[in-house]
Amino acid sequence: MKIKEQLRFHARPLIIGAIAAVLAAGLWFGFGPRPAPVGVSLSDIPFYKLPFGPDETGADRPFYPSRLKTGTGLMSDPSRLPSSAECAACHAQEFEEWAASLHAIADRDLVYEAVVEANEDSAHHPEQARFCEGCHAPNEMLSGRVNRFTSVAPADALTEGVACITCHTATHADPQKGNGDITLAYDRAEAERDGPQGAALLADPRAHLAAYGAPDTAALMKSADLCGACHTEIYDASNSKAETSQTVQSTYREWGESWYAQNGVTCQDCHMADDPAAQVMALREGDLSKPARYSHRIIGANHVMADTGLGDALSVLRGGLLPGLSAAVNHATLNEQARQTEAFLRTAAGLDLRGQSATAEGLHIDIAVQNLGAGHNLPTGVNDQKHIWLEVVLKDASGAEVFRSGGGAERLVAEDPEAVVWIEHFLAPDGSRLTDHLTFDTAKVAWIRKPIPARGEDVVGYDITLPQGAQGPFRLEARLNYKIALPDLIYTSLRRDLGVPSFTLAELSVELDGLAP
Amino acid sequence: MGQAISQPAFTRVVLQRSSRHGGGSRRSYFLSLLISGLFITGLAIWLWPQGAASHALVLWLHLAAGGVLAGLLLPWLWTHVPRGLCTSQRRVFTQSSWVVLGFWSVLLVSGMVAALPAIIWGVGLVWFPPREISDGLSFVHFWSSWGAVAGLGLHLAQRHWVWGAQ
Repeated sequence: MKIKEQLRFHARPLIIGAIAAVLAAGLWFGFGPRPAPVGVSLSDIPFYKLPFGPDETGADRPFYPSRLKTGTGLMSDPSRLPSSAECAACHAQEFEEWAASLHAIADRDLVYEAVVEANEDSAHHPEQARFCEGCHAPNEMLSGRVNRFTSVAPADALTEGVACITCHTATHADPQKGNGDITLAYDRAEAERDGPQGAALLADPRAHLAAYGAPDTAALMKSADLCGACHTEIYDASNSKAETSQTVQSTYREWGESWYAQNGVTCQDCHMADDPAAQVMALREGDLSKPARYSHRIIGANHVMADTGLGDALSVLRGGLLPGLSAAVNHATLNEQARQTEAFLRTAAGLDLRGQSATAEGLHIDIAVQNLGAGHNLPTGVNDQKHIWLEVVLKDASGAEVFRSGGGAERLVAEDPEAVVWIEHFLAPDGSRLTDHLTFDTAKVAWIRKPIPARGEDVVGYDITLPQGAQGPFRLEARLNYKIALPDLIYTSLRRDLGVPSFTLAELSVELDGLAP
Repeated sequence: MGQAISQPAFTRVVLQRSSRHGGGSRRSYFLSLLISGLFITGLAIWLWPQGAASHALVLWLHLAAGGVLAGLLLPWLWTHVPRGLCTSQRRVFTQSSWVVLGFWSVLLVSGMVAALPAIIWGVGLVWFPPREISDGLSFVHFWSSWGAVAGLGLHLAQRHWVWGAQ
């Protein structure tokens, strides 16, 4: 059979082109530049101390007492870790959102740094601070910079707290064990950075997507497990003076037992919603729709660290400007962070008058403190600092104050022993209270008043003795106030007598009918 | 005696300027070289470690050759399709040719769209499609290349005349 003329003509260039391309590609891939090996052996980090010895299998524990792990068992070369500022070249919106978050400054926050140093001072081995830095400074941890002797060169990526690469390379998380039990595949970040960048990356983004959006990572980033691995904190003999396990932060477990978990509402659905307050209000109405877009602001409960009203003090508290961030963008994104944080906090709680009755001495009132919008306890987190309290004021017909509980003293930065407060106390081995977050000295943790579970409430009763001559009708004014830290912490850490602004989560103002004496 | 096929003036000029050999022109010869080179480099890009620096050079070569191919192939098809398909005497050839043309269209369009973010980056702007689109483009570009190359082989081998017909 005769071969068609066109095939005969074109077979030659097709074969020649194919052979030439195979040879060229083969030569290039065979003899061209090889990818640099990723990872740094622990033994290659000068003076890296392992004071706590190996684990029960004899393996090194480079991050102990944090439970942080690397996928390869190797450390990272800091010069090859991309900083979030580099990610901003293409992901500017995500970067600017993240830059205002607490995650971005988790390792720069001045108070945090001071508290870590205070804890180091109280520990026999300063490497015990790896317990804190596992969650607060994974880039530093994985580079071997969290050490008694700093022998690893600085890099932009190491100044960031929970950075882009942290979540976007996470491959495993154990929220039950907590204490930073996350496995990070920073080798993916190192390898990807050696590959095509810029225009070439955009033309073929598969390597980039494989490094930062691998199926295991993508699934984990949608899961509460990733958050829970750091937002579950347990003190034991490895990191404190506790003889028995003390659960200090149980946000993940609180969520796991809540209506939110049962209905598939994750941490990300609220804290990373484009409009977190609107998302929570919709959930309060029973609307389980997922956010149309997820933001990288990771809105939480710290309204102080985004309060641009603090002026330059805020920049100092936040540890200065992040790499790649201009002052103008920083200011704008912090303003938006503050707005969203305040709106978010206002969705969390409610106050309701549940009962009022006359007594021989005066009045009895019951106020329900409701957790309306938080998908975990109220308050949650590490609550030796973060706390809420009720401020209750009763005024008579003339407007004179006839009763007060909480509020005044608290607002003046001292604690009011009479106030109804939801707080936990860190106790030293001798039973004395530690007010400055000395984790390593803590032996026991005790709640003064149990926190309020998601969609739950705590009814607080007040027996009010009315002064002689007090005339009704009486007006009850109640506020649920929230404070991010105790003044002692700021004083001890920064040696400054700075008041910590409080935030009113919910208010109640009601006239008490039929109780006029 | 078949009827003379009317040709647009542009087509006539292109045909006259193409130095024809038996079975093809210098341009189509060059196009075939490019096509096979692109197929192999595309395969290398798909299969080799993507994080490697050496990947970038092959990728740039593939992009540049793809641009040249698109620039040469589209005007060539503009003349070849009306001339070739209109003279086809076999239904199976006509139909398979349309399928081959479909593969080539998908291949070229997916390649150009995939390269668009890189081109836009070149003028100082950042734009890229969502991951699903990007993944879809890679997938479509890769698999349509097999259809396009296999179809080209079939197209070149398949007769478009009927035995015994005048």
